[in-house]
Amino acid sequence: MLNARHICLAVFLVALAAAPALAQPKPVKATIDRTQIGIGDAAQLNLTFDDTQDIPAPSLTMPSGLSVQYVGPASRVSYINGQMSASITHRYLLIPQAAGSYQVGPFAFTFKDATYEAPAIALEVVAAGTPLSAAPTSEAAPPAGQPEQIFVTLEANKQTLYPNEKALLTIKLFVSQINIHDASFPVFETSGFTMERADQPKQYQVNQNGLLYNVLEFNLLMFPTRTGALPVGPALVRCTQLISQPQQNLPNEFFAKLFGNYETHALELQSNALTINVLPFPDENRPPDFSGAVGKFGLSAQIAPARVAFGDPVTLTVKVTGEGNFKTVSAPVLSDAQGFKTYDPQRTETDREVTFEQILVPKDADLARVPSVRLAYFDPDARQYQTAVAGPFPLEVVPAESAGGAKVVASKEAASQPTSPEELGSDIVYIKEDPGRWQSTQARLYRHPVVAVILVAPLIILLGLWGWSEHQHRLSTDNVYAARFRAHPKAQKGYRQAAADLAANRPQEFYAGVSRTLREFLADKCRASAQTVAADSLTALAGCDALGEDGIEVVKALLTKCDDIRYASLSASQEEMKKDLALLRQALERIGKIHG
Amino acid sequence: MAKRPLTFLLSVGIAIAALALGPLKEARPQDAVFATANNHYKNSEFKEAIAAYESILSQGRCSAALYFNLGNAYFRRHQIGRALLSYERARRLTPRDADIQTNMQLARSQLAYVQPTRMKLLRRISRMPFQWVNLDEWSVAVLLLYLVLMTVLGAMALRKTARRRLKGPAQALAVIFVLGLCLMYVKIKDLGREALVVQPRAEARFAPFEKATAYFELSEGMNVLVIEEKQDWLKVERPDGKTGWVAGSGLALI
Repeated sequence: MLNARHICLAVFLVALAAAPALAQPKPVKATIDRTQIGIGDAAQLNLTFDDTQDIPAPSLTMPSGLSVQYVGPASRVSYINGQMSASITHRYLLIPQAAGSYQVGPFAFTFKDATYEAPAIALEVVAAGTPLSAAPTSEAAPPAGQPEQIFVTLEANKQTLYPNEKALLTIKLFVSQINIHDASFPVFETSGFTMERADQPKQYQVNQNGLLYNVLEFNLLMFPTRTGALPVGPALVRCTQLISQPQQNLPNEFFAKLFGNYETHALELQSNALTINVLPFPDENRPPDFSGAVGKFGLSAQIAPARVAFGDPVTLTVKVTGEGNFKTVSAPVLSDAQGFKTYDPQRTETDREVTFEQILVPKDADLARVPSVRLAYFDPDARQYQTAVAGPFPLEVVPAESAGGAKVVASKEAASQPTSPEELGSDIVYIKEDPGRWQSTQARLYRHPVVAVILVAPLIILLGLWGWSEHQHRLSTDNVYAARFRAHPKAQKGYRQAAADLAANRPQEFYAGVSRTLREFLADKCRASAQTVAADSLTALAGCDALGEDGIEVVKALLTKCDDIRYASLSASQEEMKKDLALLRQALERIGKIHG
Repeated sequence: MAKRPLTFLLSVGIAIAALALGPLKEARPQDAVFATANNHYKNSEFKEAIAAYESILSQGRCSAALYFNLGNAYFRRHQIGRALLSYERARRLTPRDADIQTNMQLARSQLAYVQPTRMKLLRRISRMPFQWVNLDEWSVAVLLLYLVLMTVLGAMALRKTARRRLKGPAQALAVIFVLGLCLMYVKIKDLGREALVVQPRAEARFAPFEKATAYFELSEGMNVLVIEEKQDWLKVERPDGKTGWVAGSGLALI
C-alpha cells in the first residue's frame, strides 16, 4: 500500500518535471515572398518568431535541387494600443538548381526547452525564361488585423535590373499616435550595389488601415554592380520614442499629463528585406563599342571652328542627355578617326547631361568633314542595345597662310636671344643712412594739448559768433529789445553830460539834460514814448510801480523842478544842482530796476 | 565785418597746426649712435648693430629709418619675427615707403605659413586708410577738416543769406568729419593691442597656464590682437577670430 503511494507520488513529480517538455509547441510563421520562381532567380523565406528576439537562426534542410543561403535576422518592435511586442525574423534565400515542385519544410526547432513548429510551404521552380504567374511582392505594409503604430518599409521601383541600371530605393518610416524624434538615416547592408542619396528626406501624412500615419521617406539611388539575386536590406532606422509619464499625484488626467515627465526609449526599427534580380547583359546584337552605358540617351554634337588652317585644332563637343546612369557613359567614338590626330576627350558631368570635348587636328588638307560620333548603350526598358549617332560635320581645311590668323614674326635680335627666362636675385633693400625725423616713441599728435585747443577754441568762437549774429538780428528787428538794450548806456551818457554841465555851471543845459535823461530812460524801461512821460502821468506808465512811492515822488519832483527852471526861467545854485544830480543818480538806479 | 572772423579763424587754425607739429621736431643727439650702428651693419656685425639701434629706442627716441635698419639687422640674423615687427613699426611711421614694403614682403616670404586673411569687415575697413597714411597724418587731416567745418558754420552764422547755400557742404563736411573721427577712434583703440609673434612657434591655449589644452598654433610673424592680459599671459585674437591664451614672451606689441 505504502509502495503504491510512493510510486504514485513519483509518477506525479516526473509528470510535473516533464510538463514544459510536453507543453504545446509554439507556432512559427513561415512565409515565402514568391511561390513561383525561375532558374537563376531566388525566393526569400522568412521564419518569424513572436515574443522573442534572441532565438538564433535555425539551420534548414532543403530538398534536393534547392539550396538555401542565410541572409540575416530582422527584428521588429511593435506598439499597438500602448502594448509592446517584439519578434525576430530569420531570412533565407532559396536558390533552385533544377525546375520542379518543391516542398520547403515543415519546420521544427527547439530552443531553451521550447519547441517551435511551422507547416511546409510549396515552391514551384520553372525553367529560365518561362513566364511566371503573378506573385505577391514582398511585404511592404504591416500585417492585416491590428494596425501597427510604428514600422519601416523598404521598396524598390524595379525588381529586375541590369548592371549599372539606375533604380530608386525608398525607405519609409510610418509613425502613428506616438512621439518619436531623432530618426536616423536608414542603414542597411547590401552587396552588389552602389548607393547614392537621391534627394532630401520627405515628410507627409497618409491614411492607412484606418490610422493616420506621419511618414518620413528616404530615397536612394541604387546601381547594381554584379548579376544574380541580390539581397537589399533590411533597412535599420534608429529613433527615440518619448513616453509620457503622467504626474501620479494629480487626480485630473489633463493636469497629470501636463505636469508629467517624458521618458525616452531608444528604438531600432527594421524593415522588410528585398531581393533584386540583376540580369546579365544579353550577348545578342551587342555593339562592339558598347562600354556599359545603361539608360535612354540622346546625342548632340558640334565642331568649332568649321574652317581651320591646316595644322590647327578643331574642338568636337558632344553632349549626351537623357535618363540613366551617366557615370557609365564613356566618350562617344568617332566612326572614322583616320585623317585626324585625336586627343583624349575632356568630360564634364551634371545631373542631367554629360559633355565631352575632344580636340581633333586634321592631318590631311583635303579633309571635308568630321566623321559622325556614336554612343552604344543598353535600354533596360526595351531590353535591347541602341546606338545614338550625331554628325558628320562639314569642315573646311585651308592652307596655313590663308587662314587669316595673326602671324608672329620674330626679329633677328629676338631670335638670337636665349629662350630661358632670366633669373633675378632677391634680397632686402639696404639700410638707410639718414635717420630721418627723430621723435619720441610715445609721441602721438592726438595726445598733444594743442589738439584739444584746436577742438575747443573754434567751437567757442562759433558759439560766440552765433550769439552775436542773433543779437544783431534782434536789435534790427525788435524795437523793444533794442530800446531796453540801449537804455542803460544812454542813461549813463545823460548822467555824465549832466555832471559836465554842473561842472561848467550851465543850469539851463543841466536841467534840460536831467529832464531828457529821466524821460528817455523811463520810456525805454516802460515801453513808452519819451514825449508821453510827464510828472503828472508817471503812475500811468507800465511797471512804474516798481519805483515805489518815494521813488515816484523823487522822479516827479525832479521832473517838476526841471520844467520850472527851463520854462519859468528860475535860477538854481551850484549846491542845488549838486543835490539834483545826486537825486538823478538815485532816480536812475530805481528806474534801472524796472523789468520792462 | 563778415570777412574778418573768417580770416581770423583760418589764421588761428594754421597757427595752431603749426604749433602742434613744431614740438615734434627736436635736436638729433642720436645721430652719432645711429651712424655707429650703421657701421656695424656694414661690417656684418649685426648683433652689435642691433644693440646700438635698440639703445636709441631705449632712450625713447625713434624714427622710421631706425626701425627699418633694425629690421634689416634682425633679418640678417634670421630673426624674421623681430624683423617683421621692426618693419611694421617703420611702416606705421612712413606708410608710403616702398623700401619698407619690399623688405616686409621678402621677410614674409621666408615664413612657412600664410597669414589668415579672413578679418571682420569693420576692422578691415577701419585699417584701410592706414595703409597709406600714419595716425599723425590722419589726425592732422581730421583737424583740418574740423577747422574747415567750423569756418563754414561760422560763415553761416555771420551771413544769413549764405546759410541755404552752405547747408549742403556743411552737412557733407560733418559726415566726412564724423567718419574720419570714427576711424581715428578705432585706430587709437587698437594701439597697444596689436602684436606680432616673434618666436618661431607659439601655442595658444584655452586657459592662461602651461598645462591648459592647446587650441591653435601661432607662427612667427603672425599678426594678432591682444584682448586681455593676465600676469605673463596674453589673450589674443587671430585675424580669423580664434582666441586663445599665449605666453607673453612669444609676442611683441607693435
